[in-house]
Amino acid sequence: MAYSDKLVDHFENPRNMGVLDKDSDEVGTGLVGAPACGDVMKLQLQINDQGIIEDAKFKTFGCGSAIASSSLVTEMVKGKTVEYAENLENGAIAEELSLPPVKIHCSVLAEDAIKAALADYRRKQAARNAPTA
Amino acid sequence: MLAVTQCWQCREPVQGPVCAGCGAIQPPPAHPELFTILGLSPSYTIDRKAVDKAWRGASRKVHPDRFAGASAVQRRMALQWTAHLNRARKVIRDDTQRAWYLATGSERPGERDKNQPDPAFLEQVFELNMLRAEDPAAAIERARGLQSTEQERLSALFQSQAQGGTLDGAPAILGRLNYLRTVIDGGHE
Ligand code: FES
Repeated sequence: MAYSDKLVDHFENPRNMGVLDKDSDEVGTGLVGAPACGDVMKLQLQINDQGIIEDAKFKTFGCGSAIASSSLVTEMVKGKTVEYAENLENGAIAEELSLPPVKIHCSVLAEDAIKAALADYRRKQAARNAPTA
Repeated sequence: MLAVTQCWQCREPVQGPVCAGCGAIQPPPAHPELFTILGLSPSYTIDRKAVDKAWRGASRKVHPDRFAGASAVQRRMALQWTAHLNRARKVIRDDTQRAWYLATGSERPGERDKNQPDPAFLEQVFELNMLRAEDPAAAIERARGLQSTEQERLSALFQSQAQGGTLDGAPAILGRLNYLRTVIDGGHE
């Protein structure tokens, strides 16, 4: 299978690999799996009070396309708003990396990881803002 | 049992790939039941020798050589039947594919399958993948332990199905086995 230069680049030099403090109120963590292949991806977003994504990190155990998708997606959301990340779809990732049809689920994994991280962040914010008795 | 249809050539009722009356090969169904086309009943427990024997017998009847002198359409049908039979044998002989097939009608999870395993399990798989980078032997051993537990659960489920239970829990178990296999194999393409 011939992979695009962009995919190979993100696979060979992944951006934003690593971890953020999962216990911080500013950090949302998403851990998701791909049922089709058994790969797993952890993605974390650090979000400030203005709803801007200040940092993004990932750790993926999966195929090259999954690693490239997570690397690309962290680059895409950094410096953007929560709304932007919320509306990100896997199609944009798949297109950017020219993923073949059997690798679509790898980009779905990245989309799901972003959504899971945002959900976790919201949960934390809601808990923080909840009136304490 | 294969459904009874009408022979496209002589209009007699026919059951199976070849008309007993005129010898014409019949168009294969688009999505044949894999056990049925081999003349077997769907079951998780199999006897590989019996599967091979059933496959040989069924394949002989539709072997393309037998239709070498027939029309192009019939020759194509012979090839289609042969492909279905080969796939049936392959899926049924493979424990994982057979289980997926029996539980979901497809031998593997769909490319768009979105079902997420229980978060604690996913966390465990993530940790095992982390461990694998440092101590592969330990990670593989732990994954194998979890794998055999899930396999026992799966067998128990298929056994209870034989007594009237459902296979509702099977996809979740098969999904977990998929993640564990990835840990054990250390990823894939
Ligand atoms: S093959 Fe599973 S994420 Fe790519």
